[in-house]
Amino acid sequence: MSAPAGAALACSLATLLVLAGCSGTERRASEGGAERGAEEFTRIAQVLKSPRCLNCHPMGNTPRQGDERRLHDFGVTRGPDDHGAPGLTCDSCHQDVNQQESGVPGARRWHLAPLRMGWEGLTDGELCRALLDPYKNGGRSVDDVVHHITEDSLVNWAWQPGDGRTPPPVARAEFNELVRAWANKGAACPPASG
Amino acid sequence: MPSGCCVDAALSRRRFLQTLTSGSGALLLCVSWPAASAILKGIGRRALAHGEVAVTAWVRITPDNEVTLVLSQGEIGQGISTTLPALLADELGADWSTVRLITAPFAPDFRNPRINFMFTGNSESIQSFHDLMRRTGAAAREMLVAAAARRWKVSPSTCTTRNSQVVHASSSRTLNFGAVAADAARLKVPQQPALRPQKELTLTGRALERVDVPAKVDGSAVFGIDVELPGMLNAAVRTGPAVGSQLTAMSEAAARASSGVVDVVRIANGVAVVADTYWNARRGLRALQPQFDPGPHADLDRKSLGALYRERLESGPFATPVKVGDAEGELARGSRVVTFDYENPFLAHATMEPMNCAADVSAQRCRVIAPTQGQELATYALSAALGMPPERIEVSRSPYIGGGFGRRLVPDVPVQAALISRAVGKPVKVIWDREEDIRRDLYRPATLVRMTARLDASGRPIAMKARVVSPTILLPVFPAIAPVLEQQGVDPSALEGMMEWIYDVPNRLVEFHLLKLPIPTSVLRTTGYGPNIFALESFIDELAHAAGVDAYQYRRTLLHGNPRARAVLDRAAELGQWNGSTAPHEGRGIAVTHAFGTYIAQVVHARVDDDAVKLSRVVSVVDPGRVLDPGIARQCIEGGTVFGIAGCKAEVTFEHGRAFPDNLNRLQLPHLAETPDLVTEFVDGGGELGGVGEVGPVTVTPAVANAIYSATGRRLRSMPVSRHGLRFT
Amino acid sequence: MTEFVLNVNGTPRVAEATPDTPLLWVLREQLGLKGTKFGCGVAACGACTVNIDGVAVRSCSFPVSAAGNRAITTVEGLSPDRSHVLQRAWIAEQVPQCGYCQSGMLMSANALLRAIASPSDAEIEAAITNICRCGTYTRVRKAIHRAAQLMKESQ
Repeated sequence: MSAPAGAALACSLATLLVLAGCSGTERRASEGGAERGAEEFTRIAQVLKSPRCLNCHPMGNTPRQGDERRLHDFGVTRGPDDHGAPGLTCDSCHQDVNQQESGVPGARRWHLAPLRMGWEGLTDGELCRALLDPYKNGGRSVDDVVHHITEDSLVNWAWQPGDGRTPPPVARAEFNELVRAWANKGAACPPASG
Repeated sequence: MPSGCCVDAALSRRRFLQTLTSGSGALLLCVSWPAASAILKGIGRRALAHGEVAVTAWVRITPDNEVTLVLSQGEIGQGISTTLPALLADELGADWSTVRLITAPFAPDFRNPRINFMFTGNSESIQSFHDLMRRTGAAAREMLVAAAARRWKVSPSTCTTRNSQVVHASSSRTLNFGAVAADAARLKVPQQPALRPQKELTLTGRALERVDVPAKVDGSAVFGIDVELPGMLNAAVRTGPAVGSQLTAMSEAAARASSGVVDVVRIANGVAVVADTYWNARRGLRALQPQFDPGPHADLDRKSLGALYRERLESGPFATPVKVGDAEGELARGSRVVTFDYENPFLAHATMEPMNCAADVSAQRCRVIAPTQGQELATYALSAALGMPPERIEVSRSPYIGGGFGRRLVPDVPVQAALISRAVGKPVKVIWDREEDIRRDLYRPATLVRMTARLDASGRPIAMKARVVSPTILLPVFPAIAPVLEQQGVDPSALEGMMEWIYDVPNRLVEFHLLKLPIPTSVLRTTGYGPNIFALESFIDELAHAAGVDAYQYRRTLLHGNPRARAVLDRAAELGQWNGSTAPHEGRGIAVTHAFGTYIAQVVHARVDDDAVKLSRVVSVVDPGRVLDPGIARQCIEGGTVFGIAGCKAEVTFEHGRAFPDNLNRLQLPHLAETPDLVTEFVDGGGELGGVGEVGPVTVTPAVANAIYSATGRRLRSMPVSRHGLRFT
Repeated sequence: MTEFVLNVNGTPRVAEATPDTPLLWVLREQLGLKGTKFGCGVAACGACTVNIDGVAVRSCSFPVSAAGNRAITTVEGLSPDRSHVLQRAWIAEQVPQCGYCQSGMLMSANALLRAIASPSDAEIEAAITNICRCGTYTRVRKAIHRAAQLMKESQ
């Protein structure tokens, strides 16, 4: 980035950080970090917005399925506790592991992310903020968020989704590094509008 | 149907005894429940039990007074296993609560008397067997009465029957059927027995509890897929995914090494893996990894098919099965000519029970048990395929059939199973998985129909023309129709609904192009009526709009000469609150027709919000001449309505000659959540008995299209609704 | 091949199968319980529905190795004599036509009633996604309401 443009960007970010209540010294340290964090988050967002994640983070009451993200077949719904309707819970069909015979994907505790964790239609910036917002993320700290994304078994599934489903565009190991690095640098978010 | 086959359908005890006592013993069947009501048990040629006696071909009686009736027709859900035996039992005077039923093997006695062929289909079981059931019951009654009367030394005219007993009222004497059956069986079967007066019939006209329901709620009902034969193996098959594709490679060693696999057998267009269990056969098939070539029809897809149909619609050639007045002349007279094209998609049968068949073939004989609607056709097909005379072939029906819709008339699966059994030298049950079932379906054909009419000053059609492009419906299930197709260029079933219109139109013309397609097509519930009435009832609606007249009133005016049609239409409009107010986005659609001998009118209430179509109610008013069992008739109409909704949703298309979708996750069948309230009423219009099994879906498709038009102003001239960016909720 | 001891309809049953064999085929081919049906093999139609610890499970998609000692109930296990409220309701409403989907329907309904004793129409719609090609849905709905009522009356 050229010096004048970089300076201009740093100024606007600095303004934001001032509004966020950061001190001057930290501000300067975070300015460069914020840029890089925002870029890293864009790559993280590519994964979070890929079908394997987004299908179970809908904004509504129906999961989606497939790379084409169609509405889940035969009218399956969220249910009162994100585990499917009473009488047709997610585990009626989804078992602990992918089933080769029926082609039904599986992982332990297969269920929908709560509505507050709906990501469909969010910009990268909005998604980042949602991820970090304790009200929306189930009361998680940044460390908790990192732990969930890097180690949760249901999240792991995305990288071993079974035949006919494309894994996320970033390999698991690289993705985990990205997430940790982003968090270590202050978990900065891209602009909400971007 | 073999020509010159003059089977004497009259009652003949001697022939019956020959057919039933020859052949081998019974096979394992359903679990025996102490039934409070008749339960269908028994397959095929169950030999008479010790002391059991046959009084006519249809009635067997034990000394213990257990009465068993033979069921000739396949129970595919339409309730025939209740209605026909009840007719017979009612006339006979048997105790309906203890009567047993067994299925008939193929035998001449059990042929449909109308066309002298044994089959279940065409919504005609009741129409065709009604008189025979009553005459048979009456004949058996007279034989039992004669035997008892002789014993009592009284006149037979002073006796009657009731609750499986012969009764001599004046002396208060009774004799169980079982006590006189042996004597009765020795008498000549009366050819003109006296029928009971209507007021003495206690079962007919009532909603009976279906005899098959108990077994269907406790898991004991035996379907084809549940049949077991001693020493039986199981087979999983795979044929080329595309129409006509051939096997090119397979890993036979891997399949044979797979647990439980006994053999790998080449079959037409594919391969079968035979194993001890079906699951092991399926695993073996997976290990086999069969490969197929693209087949000779890899260019077949929606686009090329669409182009083909459109090209034939323009250039024919056409047969002209209907020509009344001078439609061409009138249409040429210029003004107020309305013309639209209507498309119907390919539909898959998708019976819930996938195709299957158990076969036991040796050099000497062939025995087959299948969930079949066509025992006689299967017998001849097997005879040809095996090179074995029909007398050594026994085609039996499983007690229950998990949906038919016409698919089970085709003998392809019995032939395949028999050839596999012969190849392995053991009994084999073949089960098609759902992919095989859909890919090897014989689809309800796609059709293209051009409707043209000229309206007079008052908006009425003075001339109307229909041009239909359709592949065959009948040929695979009625091979004898081939000359008609060849020489006359028509398929009678594909013309159903077009040969006669209920509407007063003085000048009528129907043209038909019989399309030759490599895609297999055949009968599917509604046969030709379905696609043709979609076109006609949509078109009438459009004429009403062109004339500026309400769709119901418009039809009514054109039904001046058809009081029964008008009666169902009027009642449907009334029950369907046709003139009631509708909220924004809500609409009402109406349709009326005469099909399968029955008049039906339906009103559909729909609401369309953006792309979501919600059907809230369907009102059906049905006049089948007379209703024998109002409960079963109602079930047929309700279920038929849902089947019709499926016709607005669940098409099959082709890509590279291959059918899609090929499983139920992607085939858009309706679910409970989308099912509207159903209000059904029957009218006793008098006249011939009509069928109720297939008529329900016929008017649904156009009524839905008409309702969507009413709600949105958008006219759908093809189904499914997804073609128009709509979906049902 | 592994020997599994399964808890089926209240009785220990032994079956030999590979661990990935779907429970559907173990029930049908090892244990002779043919009431549970094969309709699609991809968990789309519900004809194979059983209950495991009271929860609806599509057995074509459930490996026998996952059953453990959990209580498996099939349609045969609803009652010895068709006295279960659902069976009584299904007969009273004359629900079945061809009947092939009905074992699955009944077991799905059973799971629903165990979760919600008096389900609303909306709750029935969300829970019962079994496919019925004969179109018995309106009667299924009525029969579930009726069974819920029968259950209430027996308390």
